[in-house]
Amino acid sequence: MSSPGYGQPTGMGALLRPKLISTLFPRLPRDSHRSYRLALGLGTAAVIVLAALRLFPVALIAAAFLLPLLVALYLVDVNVYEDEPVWALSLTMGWGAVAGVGFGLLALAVAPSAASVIVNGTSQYLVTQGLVLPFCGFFVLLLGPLVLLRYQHFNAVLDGVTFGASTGAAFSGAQAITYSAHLIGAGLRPGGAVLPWVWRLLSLGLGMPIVIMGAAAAACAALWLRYRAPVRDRQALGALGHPAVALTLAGLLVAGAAVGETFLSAGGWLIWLVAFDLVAVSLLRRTIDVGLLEESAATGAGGPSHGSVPETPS
Amino acid sequence: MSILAERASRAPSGGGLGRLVVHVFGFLFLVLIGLSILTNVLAAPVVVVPCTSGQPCGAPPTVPPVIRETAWRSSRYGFSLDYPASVAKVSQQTPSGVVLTVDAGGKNGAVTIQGFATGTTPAEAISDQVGGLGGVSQLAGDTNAAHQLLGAGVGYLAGAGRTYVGDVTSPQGSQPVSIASEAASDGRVTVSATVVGATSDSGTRSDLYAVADLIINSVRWPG
Repeated sequence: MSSPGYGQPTGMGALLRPKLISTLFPRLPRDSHRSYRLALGLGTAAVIVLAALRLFPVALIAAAFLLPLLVALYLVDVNVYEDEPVWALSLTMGWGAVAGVGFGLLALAVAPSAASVIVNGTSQYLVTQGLVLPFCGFFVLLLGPLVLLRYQHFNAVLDGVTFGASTGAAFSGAQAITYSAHLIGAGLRPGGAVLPWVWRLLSLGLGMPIVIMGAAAAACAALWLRYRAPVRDRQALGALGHPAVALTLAGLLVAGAAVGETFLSAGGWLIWLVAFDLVAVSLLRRTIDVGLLEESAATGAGGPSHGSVPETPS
Repeated sequence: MSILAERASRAPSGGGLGRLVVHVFGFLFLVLIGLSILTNVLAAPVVVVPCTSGQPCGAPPTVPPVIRETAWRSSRYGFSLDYPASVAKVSQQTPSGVVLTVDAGGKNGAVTIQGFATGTTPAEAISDQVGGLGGVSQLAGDTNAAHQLLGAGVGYLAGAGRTYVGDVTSPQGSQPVSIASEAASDGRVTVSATVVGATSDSGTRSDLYAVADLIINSVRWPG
């Protein structure tokens, strides 16, 4: 494994530069980053090709599973759950999927009819589906990882990051599939304009899930930092490390990302989400840095490295 | 909640899959795509053989009983129409057109009837009206032969007709909608009618389209 030691200083410039794979999968050894980047790139390309072939329902399912599948591979790859995989997986990805299905059904129940949207515009769902459901859904998805906070076995800040990210990925995918279930019943090639579909699929498969994963991971990291980290580390993030601030900020980040859909075009929403992704990933990188330094201290300076420092810019 | 956890140096074993990650991911992703294609094929609606223009096409769809006809008239173009107030109500109106929301047996939709000035062809009227629909994303022409409008017209005047598909979207996902639009002209005014509803509520045999047909056929030309 060629990852550098934990204690390697990470400059502010590196913290602010978003590196998706090393941020969402902080325990991944550096020499595995390329494989994960390649897998993410191939998956994204597959989604675009499926959309170009007008296989929109298939592309939607592929987009919804893209990040959860990668997260599941990561969990197995680095053996995050060690000897307790079943119940820990149930409380993270399992809970995320259940909550995602629940909120997908809830969104279907409160969604205005197509006629109402045509007549009254998207203001019909701005508040409920644009703000309230994403905000509430975010806090509900955190309930699974919160149960794991009680267990001493998972006592590192990076555990919180992993649990939050994996729960967020499963939540996003399950919600998108549940809400769009009618599309699956409309046939293999139901028709529609390709380019807006591509933007929409990238938003639902990457843009929104990354915001949710980043926000959930950052919120969990703050909780783990507060209740699991040594006292000396608890102030490491300043106000951002306080659970009340971190949870509120993360919830607002998710709701802010979601509400853009209600007044932007498909392409506009994707750009909007990229901006929120950058904020979420940058925020998460700061917490990961604290987590890595914490593990460095626990392992002993200069000791063997098992994780990886987020990539420094080359 | 215990906050007195014993600090432990615990680092998961890393990178067990190594470069196999791409292969494993690719395999699982392809399996997933294969399964979703299979699911979509199995869940796809049964394709109805399209009717041929001018040939008998089976029994007409059942129409909800018309309890009360209500009239509406365009003060700008002079055309008028009737709609069954038991299942349709006016949502928006201007001097040149009206938007009716229809709830026929739980199937919801919107019917927009709009007049256009002399010189607007039916095809142009359809493009204008469909292009102005708010809230619909991924809009494109419907290429399914079974969904095409045969003998399109308004108020028993032959004209043009087109069908479209699109989606009503939200941050949570997309829901497909079907759009059928037809227009005709009497030489003085062009009237266009567009029906929009969730795909599951729409179709040639749906109650929504049956009510829309009633309204579109009821259009009376000025003068």
